Amino acid sequence: MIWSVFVWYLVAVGIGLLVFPLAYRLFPNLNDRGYSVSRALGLLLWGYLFWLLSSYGLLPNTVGGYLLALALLFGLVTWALRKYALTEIAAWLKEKEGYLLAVELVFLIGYAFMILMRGMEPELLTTEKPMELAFINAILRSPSMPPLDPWLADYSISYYYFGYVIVAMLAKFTGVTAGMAFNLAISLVFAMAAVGGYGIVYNLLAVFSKEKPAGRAFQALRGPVFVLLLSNLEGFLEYLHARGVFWTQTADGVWQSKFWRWLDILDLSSPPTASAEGDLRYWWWWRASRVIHDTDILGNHREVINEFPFFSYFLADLHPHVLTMPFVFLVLALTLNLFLDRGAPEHPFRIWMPGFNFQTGPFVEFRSVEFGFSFQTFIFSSVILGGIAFLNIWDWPWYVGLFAAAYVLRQAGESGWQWGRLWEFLGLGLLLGVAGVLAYLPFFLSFSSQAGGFMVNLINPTRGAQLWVMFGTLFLPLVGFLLYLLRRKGDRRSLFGGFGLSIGITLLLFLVSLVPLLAAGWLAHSDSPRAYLGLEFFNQYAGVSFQELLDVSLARRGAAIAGLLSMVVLIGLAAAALWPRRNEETQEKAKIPKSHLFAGLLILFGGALVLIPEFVFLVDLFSHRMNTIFKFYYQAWLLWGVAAAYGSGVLLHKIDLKSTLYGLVLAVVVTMGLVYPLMGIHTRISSFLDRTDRQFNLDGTVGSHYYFLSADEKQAVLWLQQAPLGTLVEAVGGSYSNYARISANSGQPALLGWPGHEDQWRGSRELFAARQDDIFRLYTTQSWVEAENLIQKYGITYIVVSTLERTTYNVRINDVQYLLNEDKFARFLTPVFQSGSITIYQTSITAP
Amino acid sequence: MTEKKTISLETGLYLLALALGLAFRLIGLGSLPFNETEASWAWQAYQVSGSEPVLIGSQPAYVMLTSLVFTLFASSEALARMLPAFFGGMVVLLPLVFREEIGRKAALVAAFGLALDPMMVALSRQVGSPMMAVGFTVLALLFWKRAKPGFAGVFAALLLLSGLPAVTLILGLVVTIALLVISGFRRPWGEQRPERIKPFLIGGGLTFFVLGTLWMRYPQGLSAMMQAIPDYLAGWMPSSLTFRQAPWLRVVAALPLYQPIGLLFGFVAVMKNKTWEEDSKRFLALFVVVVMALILAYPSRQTADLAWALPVIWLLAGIELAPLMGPVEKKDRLIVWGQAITILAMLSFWWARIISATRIYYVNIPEGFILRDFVSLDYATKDYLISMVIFVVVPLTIAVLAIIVITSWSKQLALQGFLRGLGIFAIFYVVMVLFGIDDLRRRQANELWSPVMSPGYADDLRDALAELSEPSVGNRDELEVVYTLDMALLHWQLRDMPNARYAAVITPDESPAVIIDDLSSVEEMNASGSYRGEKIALQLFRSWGDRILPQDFDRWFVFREAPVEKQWVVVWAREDIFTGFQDIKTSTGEPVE
Repeated sequence: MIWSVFVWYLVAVGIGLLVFPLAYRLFPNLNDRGYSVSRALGLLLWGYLFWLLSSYGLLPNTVGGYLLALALLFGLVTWALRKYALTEIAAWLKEKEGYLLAVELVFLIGYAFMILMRGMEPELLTTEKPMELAFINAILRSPSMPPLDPWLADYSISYYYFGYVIVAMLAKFTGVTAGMAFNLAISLVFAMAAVGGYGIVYNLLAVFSKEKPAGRAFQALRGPVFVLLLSNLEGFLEYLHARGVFWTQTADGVWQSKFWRWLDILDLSSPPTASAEGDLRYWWWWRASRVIHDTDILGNHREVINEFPFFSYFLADLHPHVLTMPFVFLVLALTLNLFLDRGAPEHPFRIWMPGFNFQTGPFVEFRSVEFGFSFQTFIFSSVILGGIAFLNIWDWPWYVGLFAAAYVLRQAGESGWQWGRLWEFLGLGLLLGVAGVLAYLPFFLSFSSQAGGFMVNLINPTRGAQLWVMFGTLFLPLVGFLLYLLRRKGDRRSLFGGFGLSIGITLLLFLVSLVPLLAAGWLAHSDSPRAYLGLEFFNQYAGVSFQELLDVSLARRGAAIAGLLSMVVLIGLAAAALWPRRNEETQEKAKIPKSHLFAGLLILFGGALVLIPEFVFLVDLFSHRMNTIFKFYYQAWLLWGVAAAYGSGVLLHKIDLKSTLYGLVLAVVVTMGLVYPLMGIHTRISSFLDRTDRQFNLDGTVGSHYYFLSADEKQAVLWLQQAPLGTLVEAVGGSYSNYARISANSGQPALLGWPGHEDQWRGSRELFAARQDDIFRLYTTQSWVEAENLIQKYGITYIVVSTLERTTYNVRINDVQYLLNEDKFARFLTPVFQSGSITIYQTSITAP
Repeated sequence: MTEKKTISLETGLYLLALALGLAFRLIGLGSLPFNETEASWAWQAYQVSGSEPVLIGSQPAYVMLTSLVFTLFASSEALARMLPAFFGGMVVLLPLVFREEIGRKAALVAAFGLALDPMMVALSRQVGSPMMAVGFTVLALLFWKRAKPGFAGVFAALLLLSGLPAVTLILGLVVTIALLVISGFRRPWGEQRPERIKPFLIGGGLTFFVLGTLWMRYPQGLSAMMQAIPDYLAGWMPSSLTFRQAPWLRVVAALPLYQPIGLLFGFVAVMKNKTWEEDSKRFLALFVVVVMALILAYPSRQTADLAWALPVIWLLAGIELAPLMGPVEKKDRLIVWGQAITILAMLSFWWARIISATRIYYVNIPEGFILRDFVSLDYATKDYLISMVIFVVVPLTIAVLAIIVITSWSKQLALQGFLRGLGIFAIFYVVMVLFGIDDLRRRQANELWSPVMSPGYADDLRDALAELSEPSVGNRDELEVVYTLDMALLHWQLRDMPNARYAAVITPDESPAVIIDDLSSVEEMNASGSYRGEKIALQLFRSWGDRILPQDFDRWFVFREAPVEKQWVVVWAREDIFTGFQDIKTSTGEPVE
């Protein structure tokens, strides 16, 4: 185990060092030349080269394939070295050795911290961990890319799975099991995110601050603290709640609290059940990811996810939004590098693009457009930004937008604002989008999204109280920084402009959100043949009338106005900070460092991410804004975390009264935000000490605590891991459970795994509609002929019969008792593995 | 006036060495069936030649090149072994590369040594051995030396595409060069020639593209090459699947037993100070030491790994042997040749007594035996004891003879006579071993260089199936055969039978005409009563385990006889296909009980 931990560390450091010359060339405007994100750059490019070539049938999924991809990456690095001599890079490294040591320390501490956290509770049992494990195992077993879907045999994965490719690649490359790779990966991602956050804040401070590098390196530690450790205020509230603060007991023994009821966060609204010592509830930490409380029109609870980084790592949620994190910092570094560039490349990127010509015509004409960056920047940016799509497609448009906005803002800063900049923004965004799709074409061709367009949010505005519980720890440093920035800017017109924009956009969004309501109301009462569309709209709201829905909508918006106002203020301040100044005198008088503007841009984009779900959300299988809030808020946290870390650094760089006061208030808020991680660590250690074995372990699929598999089933899984690839059948059941455990652990593709998740990944049940029933029939039928037909129909190789199968298929439906019939398998098939209660039968079908 | 082209004696001798080397390597290549290792490589090449999907192993050069041979001609054991044998024969040209450095005569001696070295001949005749890579190395060096960098690039790329075997060479070179640099040797790679780099890279690049990917038909050939690195590293992990080590002492023992001359003189060269004083010789000597250390330290070592050390050992041996090949002064001839012929005669007698002793199967030496009791012993025991005495006395006599020559004439003359006598005997010995290796003796598994599994009687399997097929379906290859062992050897042997297929399991409702299974199913199949079985030894393997040498060393030394075990498969033929013809029997088949 220690060897594996060490090898992963070495590989991460090694890949970073290998690609550093490339980073050195790509990030000439960053003070650290991209050193802090070089690990992420290396893993992304290595994974990309392997995946792409494998997807086109040029590389097999073997260590040899990875090594060849690595050799190609080395070729890229050699190309990068053509511009810079190794001696120059060596001299730079020597000069920056203090900073490099700091980066390495942050990385090492982050890695060690997560290793310890996972080692105390490594089991991959809860939430979607089985799914993540299934992806890793399936990729490990896939002969080439695209990888096999672990839970829908004969199909490839339909998900943004790049992160899992990288994890599986590292697992196979270093020879560790998937169960261990999972925990090593979450530790590695945490450490890479830590140095990513550290590096971006350091680079921003380097633009602004003239202080010594050592001081800057220390100040930059705020980056990982604000992004990764600082949490929402639920932890602090949990602490108060558990101690009965704000609760009073009436004479008849009933607990009451206006505060907690007003706050309206599930679990916290109920009186504490703990002892006087303030013991916390089991899994108390879960609630922090559910502080936004939405209800349907009848007042029923609707699940909304509002994860934040520390929660994700505490849970070890190896999901795309977490796997993306180090690469988000890579994108931020790329964007900052572009923003800081002077925009006069030797060979600028030129392309023919369609443009509008309102004056002379023709209306649309193609023009040669020249961008203020090189072709190589464009190519690498497309691959890196496209990688975000493949890692977590939700984030892709935002980071493309951020990149394009940073470019436009830079151009505006250099050559002044004009409306043509808007076209530049759209054009660059479009180009990066197209290039990203082309770069990751095999993914886009095989991905069928569950997304079904946008839907308006009429009845679930976010309450101010809950929004502040969620983001309060970041709001203070953000607002403080923006006020400082505006004061320094000293341009009142900017304030008007910024707030005008903020209010205008909010109003526009509000009006847009009303359009479907109005249209549906009109349609529902019209004689139009499409009147049913209007009725369908209202059916989503329990069939209330237009007027009732409008009333509820406006009433709820009114009641939750504090949330909206908070966003309007924050966005207004950020927009004002970025607002172009026309008065050149003012510009000269108070020159704003570009790092301030970049931080402002991050705040603005974060604001947009939080504001938009107030009015619209992306339609998925859940038909409400659960995932939109989840994905948007998460990215907002990252952007705001960086801006808050930088902003607080700016405000605290001087020692005066104002700064001291600000620092004191900030210290209080940060302490409140750190209550959650401290209590979380305490809980983790306590539960580890409560374990009977107290065995520190990193393989999440071994040991007595991994109860998804019995001891016999673990043996069966080991057997299947060595057996030839073939379609496997096991009991089918609900998500988040031990159903599909054999396929998830062995990598043998199941005929069907978690149907609910397949539905989410593919947006429909069309591909597997009959499979669940057929599996039921396969297990329960008395007829061998029927079973054999099903085996032939699906090309089934392995049939698992174990306790779960026997209990699942011992069921009474419509007064008919069904029972798993194993006799037919025993008579006509060969039992290739048998141990205790589990038997694996093999058919004569072998995978091609 | 046209210039008359003549072949110099030196060139002629090189051609003779090459011809000898190739002849020994190419003769009777198809006489043995494959073992599993050989079959796995040949089977990959066969699949590639048929454009079938296949995961290419870590020796893509062999797979790609042999697939072309299969495409052009046909697939057979002989053709599958042809390229390793041919390129293995190119090792004879290695001395040409170092001719200036070690001397022309020494190079020629080394060339003949390499042509006739029994182990190098044996390894060249084996699919999957490092000899192809050795041959590519020699050709790359030769072309570079002859200012043909394009071709050098081609063979350097082929060397890299040889995969796993090349790793030992590359590591050996890296460590050697590093040690030379550390020891103050500034340019161990020789004179730099920047103008050759471009054609070298073009040649190499084209080879990677064309052969490494087989015109992009099998692009994974390049990743298969890279797979050599993890495969090699896995060999350092005792728990890895690829772990098949030969005891290091067996590897060491193979040197004196297969190439006593090369080892003796190579060792002398390494031990001499003079060797370490000259740059090129120092490089060669250090390389041998490093490569031997790498081979012996590697947990998954195979005796075949010596293929990287032997050629250089022969170069060094050539340096020492060359002075002895010169004419002896007329006045000394009688002494030198007299001593040599005496030694040769005594060694021949010594060898004959060893042969005689190996035929004695029962020896009865009573407890408390003293010399006086000799007359009362039985004939066989007497004979054995006499052999033992001669076994000790002959070397002593040779030593005494040498001392007499030294004291009466000179040390130099004694050495010349001794080495000539020993050398001629060693040549006879080597040729004997060589013939044994070429399977002109018998099929066995007891050579030290043999892999874990040696070829058995897989060819009999094909014959047996053909004999079953003909009366049953009317031709020799269309019988329905299902085999449950996922072995490349079976895939290969049954490749021309269109109705033969592999199935991991045979369900009870299936009853193909022939089932090939291992011994685990004997009871079940006998119980079914509907099949009749015959055992065939698919592969042979030594049953002396981890011993360095077999217990009965003298028998092994002379006849290579030692205990051997067999990997059996059972050919189960359905009862009804025997209708109308006699029971089949093959020379090696045994009925199953």
